[in-house]
Amino acid sequence: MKKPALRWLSKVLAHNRLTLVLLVLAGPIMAGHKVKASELNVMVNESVMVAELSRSELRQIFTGQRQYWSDGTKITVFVLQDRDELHKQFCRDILQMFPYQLSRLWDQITYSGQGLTPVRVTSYQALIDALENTTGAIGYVERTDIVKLRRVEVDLK
Amino acid sequence: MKKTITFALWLMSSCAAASHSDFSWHGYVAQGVTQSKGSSFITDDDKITGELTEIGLNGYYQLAKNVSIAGQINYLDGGNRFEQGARLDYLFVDWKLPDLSENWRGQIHIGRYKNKHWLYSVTRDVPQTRYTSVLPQSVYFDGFRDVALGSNGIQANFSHLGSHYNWDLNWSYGRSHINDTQRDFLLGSDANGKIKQDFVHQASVFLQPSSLTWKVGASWLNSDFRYTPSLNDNRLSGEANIERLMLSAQYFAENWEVSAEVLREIQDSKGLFAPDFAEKRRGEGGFVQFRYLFNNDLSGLIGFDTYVNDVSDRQGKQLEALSGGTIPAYFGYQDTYTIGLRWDIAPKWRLQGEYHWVEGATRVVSLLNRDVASHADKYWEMWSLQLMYWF
Repeated sequence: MKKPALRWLSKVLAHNRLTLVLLVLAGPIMAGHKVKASELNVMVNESVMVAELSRSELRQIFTGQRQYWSDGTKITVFVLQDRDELHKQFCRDILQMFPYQLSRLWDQITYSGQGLTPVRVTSYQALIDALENTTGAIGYVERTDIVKLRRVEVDLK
Repeated sequence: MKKTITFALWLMSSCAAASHSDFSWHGYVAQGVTQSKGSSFITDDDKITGELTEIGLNGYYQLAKNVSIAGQINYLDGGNRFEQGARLDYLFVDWKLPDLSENWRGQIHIGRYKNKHWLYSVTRDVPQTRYTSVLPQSVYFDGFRDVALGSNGIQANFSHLGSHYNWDLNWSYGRSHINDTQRDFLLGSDANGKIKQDFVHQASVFLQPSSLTWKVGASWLNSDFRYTPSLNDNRLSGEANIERLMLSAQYFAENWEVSAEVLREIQDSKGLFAPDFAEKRRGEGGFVQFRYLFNNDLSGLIGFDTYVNDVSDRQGKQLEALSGGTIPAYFGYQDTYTIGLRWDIAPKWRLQGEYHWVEGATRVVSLLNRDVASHADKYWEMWSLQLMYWF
């Protein structure tokens, strides 16, 4: 009985090698917005009177553990899709987390009634529009962009 | 049950109509093909079946700054693994306590709450949040799933969010409805009466760094059950107590992740088969699963899961001897080796396949059934391929 199982495993691995190669090649093509390291800013809507946040505070906000600003305004988090380079950059450099970790956590929160999770927008322009037009919003943008938003200094210690 | 689901639907639509900005709703649909070969765990007669369906719809409505209502209904079909049909997964009032002191937060759920004490229990029926369609049976025994998913009662969670580490303390007390399928798993198909759960009391503690890179935790469960026989029954009235202790751990790296849980459960039964019958059984087991992320879209998994029904009889030899040979020794344990592949075809679309090779059958069927031996060979296998979409 063990032998058929092992034969099956080797067949599966052999067959999937081709699929794997194709997907690895397709990965860079499928990736979205490109940005280099340290070229992003954490931004909030003009209604938010916060000038500085620590990394730990940002993590609390982006993991849904903190849902209100200190003045009582509801926090609405906007992010790009997991595959987007800017989102990956934000997760890696600012939060020091992995995008799949956050996705999993958000799914757990959403599908078990634990609370509200970030809104995932499908384009960079949609992200900027959402941040500009939503009271209490927080997100990230490329450093070079001039937008009608308030920049938050992040203490990365 | 129909009334409860109708009430949940009415409540969700009322909340949606009341305010769009404070209401959010989500859902999922998953359909697969599956087969168990050499065992009736999923299908009878080694048939390939489409009985791998999961559909869910949930709503979350914020009534006030600290008070919300959350509910989810779902439809499940898992072949022989559990009762097919629609059910209310959860429906509770979520009360976020005012900040207790610096960095301490509290949250209370009242109603049908979800079990937050194990790694996968909180979203066990949500296909895209699971590692595999069939979860490791040592911990996530499908025969006992509805009791382990959540209960009607109260759950409290206290979190300490530090600059380097987070602590999570969870406590819950409630009761679950036990349907006839679960009764058969516990007492065998000869039982015709009703099992009532007196209570289930659970507590857990988890520690994580603020980056959430790893998580370690411990949990405890204690539950009492009472059996009332029907007029023409092959069982007598009786009671059982189950106590479970578990350790859990997870680690996340950029391209791989690993999770593991080990458990010890003690079942103390009285009555049921004879007025003076008393039995104490200690089962042990656990699993480890490793996932490697080849790229953004494709990942592979290997896993091992093991469980022994009674640690004093690890090979099941006493079980076979005491049953006069009607229960083969391999029903005393179960070892499962798993491989799986996951492909994220597009955002919110996933195709997931898995194969399990199994030795032993202690989690396949109730050992109190008369026809235990006919339910599984010593070595058997199962596989599934499932397409899922969520929103």
